[in-house]
Amino acid sequence: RSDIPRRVPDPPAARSSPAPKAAPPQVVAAFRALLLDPTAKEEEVKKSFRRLAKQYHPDKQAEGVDLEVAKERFQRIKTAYETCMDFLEV
Amino acid sequence: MQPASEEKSYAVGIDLGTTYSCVGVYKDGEVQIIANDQGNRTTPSYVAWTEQERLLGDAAKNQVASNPTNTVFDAKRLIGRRFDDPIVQADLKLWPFKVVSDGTKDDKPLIEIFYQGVAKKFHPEEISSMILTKMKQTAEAYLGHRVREAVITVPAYFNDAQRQATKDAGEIAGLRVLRIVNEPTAAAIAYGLDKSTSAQKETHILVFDMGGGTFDVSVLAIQESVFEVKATAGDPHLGGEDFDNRILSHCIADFRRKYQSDPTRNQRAVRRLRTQCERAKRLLSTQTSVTIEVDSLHEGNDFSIRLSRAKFEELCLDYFKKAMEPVEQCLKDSNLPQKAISDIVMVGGSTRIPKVQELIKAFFHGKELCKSINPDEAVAYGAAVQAAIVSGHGSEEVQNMLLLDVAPLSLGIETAGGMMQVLIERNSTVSTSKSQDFTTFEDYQDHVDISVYEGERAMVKDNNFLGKFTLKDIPKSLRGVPKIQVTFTIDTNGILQVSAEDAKSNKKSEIQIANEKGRLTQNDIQKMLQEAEKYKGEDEISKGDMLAKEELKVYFQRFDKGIQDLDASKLQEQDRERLEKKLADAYHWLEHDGLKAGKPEFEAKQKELQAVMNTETWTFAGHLHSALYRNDWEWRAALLVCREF
Repeated sequence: RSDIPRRVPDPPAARSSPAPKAAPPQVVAAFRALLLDPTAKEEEVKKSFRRLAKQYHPDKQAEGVDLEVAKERFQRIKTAYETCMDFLEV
Repeated sequence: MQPASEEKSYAVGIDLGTTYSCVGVYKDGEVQIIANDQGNRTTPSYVAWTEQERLLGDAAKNQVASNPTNTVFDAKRLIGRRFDDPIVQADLKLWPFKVVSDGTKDDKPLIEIFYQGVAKKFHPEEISSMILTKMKQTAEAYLGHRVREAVITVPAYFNDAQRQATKDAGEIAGLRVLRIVNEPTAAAIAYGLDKSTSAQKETHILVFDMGGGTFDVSVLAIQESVFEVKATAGDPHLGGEDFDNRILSHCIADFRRKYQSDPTRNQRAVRRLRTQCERAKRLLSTQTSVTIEVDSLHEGNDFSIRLSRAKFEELCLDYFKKAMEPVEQCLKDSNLPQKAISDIVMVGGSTRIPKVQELIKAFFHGKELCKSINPDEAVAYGAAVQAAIVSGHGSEEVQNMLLLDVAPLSLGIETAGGMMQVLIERNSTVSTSKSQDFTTFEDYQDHVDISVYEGERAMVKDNNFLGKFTLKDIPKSLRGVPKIQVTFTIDTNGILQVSAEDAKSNKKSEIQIANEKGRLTQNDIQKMLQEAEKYKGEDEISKGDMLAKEELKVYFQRFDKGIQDLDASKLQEQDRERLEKKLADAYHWLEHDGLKAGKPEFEAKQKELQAVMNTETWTFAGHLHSALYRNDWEWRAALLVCREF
């Protein structure tokens, strides 16, 4: 089969220096998106995400708010949440 | 738009179950579970066709033994599946109604029934829509307002096709489906309103939802009224009906042994026996043994068997044990140890089975189970709350809640060697959108085929195929040069949309999964919607006709009895004969012309008889009248009885 798509390989991951683990820039940005410091702990990340979700989730918008915009915003903080959680668990 | 001029309309929550359905509405600051016209808070998910009319709910289930081939149930076990699906093929053998393929390449299953001498075929979506219509009418009767919007629940482990099809069923029923919500998640909301969940501290609960036909497990984190589903797992084909079938097989084997004859081909016998098996199963949740008895089951032989709880557990033990796997999976996926779960919420009728409770309790090292919420109503309850949240109604407490659900299955596309390249991992919070870049395999390749699958296996052939589309006219270049971005988007209903874009030409192609995987087209839905409207009209007319006919029959009986009860001193022989003649004529009319007659004719006939009575002398009329209406309550009761039919 030649007509099926082939995966574009990911760029080699920039191996961050060994301990103490410094947050790469995209992780720092993710913490910032959750209004947190990169030193924040798991509990703070969860709490902040849930508070922001309540604010930005399309289900929580007043009438007249563009739901597409809300959706995008929500997905942004959701991605940030996932990035932070991944980082903390490594 | 002036709010004052708008007709008041409610959004309801409907738990569309395999065997029973339930409807609730959020009103005046609380959830009301609505009883149907029989006074029952759950309605059998049954549709039946008799000689005269279509029956829904209790009326359909009550006559199943006398009309097995035209009584349809279990539509949820067919919805969103193909006819050649092994699960459908296995179920077929147990259903008394006929299921056929639609003969197209989509191989959709169709349910065939006979109505007024004509074979009619229905999609499972249509059967489900009829049940939804019944639930909608139940809510409308209670609210006194039209219901146009609904949140409908599905098993968390339902796949994309099953969700789409359920949404379609809602549309055919004339409902705007605000949201498709996962059943265990809905149950968690019911639990949440019961407990206080606004605490700042995070708690974890596990919902164990085993109903009539499906089984789900979900783990949720709750914090400050946000319900975040961490993981979900289950079996979309495991529930109380499977246990009924085991008891049924056991009984049939016993009957064979006793009488050397096989009742399996006798639909009526099997149906009668199944009803008793279901009853026995329910009773065994509270008592340790029952007797299953059916008089004259087959070839005049009575059947009776004693069934102990231990025997029942033995018959179903593999199912019960199998149910523990998703529990384990769910904890593993959510990265939590058993002791992190603060409450185990039991939902669905099958969680009443002591053995099921025992196994899950043992799994959690003897932890007490949470049974404070009603296992039959919790899902509809939560759906009603979600309807209030989404439509912006409800109290502050409700408005403060937020539900974050997940996609139950990984989604991806086929790449080299038939491998599955996952774009969206299972248990991703919805709504979500993920993109990945792909390229060509050969020099100057001008198109790529993108096949979409769902499932957890490494090879696509082991996963469930959802659809396929082709991105054409890729600018010619060497292999590996073009950049094709494939984007998967899952909406809050858990329904997938896929698009692919060639970065250079900006050529975009979106998958029409709708048509690819055997889903109904918008045209189909429109057609079915009209059909359903027609049916509704027919139902109402035939219901009115039936009612008038039954009223007339009752009047005959009263009339007849009235004449008989009058003694000779009050009624002269010739009058009696004249009246009896009149009544005999009327009976004759009912049995002949009456077959085709409608409401106006029946009413006219009744008036005619009343007129006969009224032309008699005052004394006679007085006597007859008092005889007729002597037992007024009896008369009313008789009328009520015929209203029920």
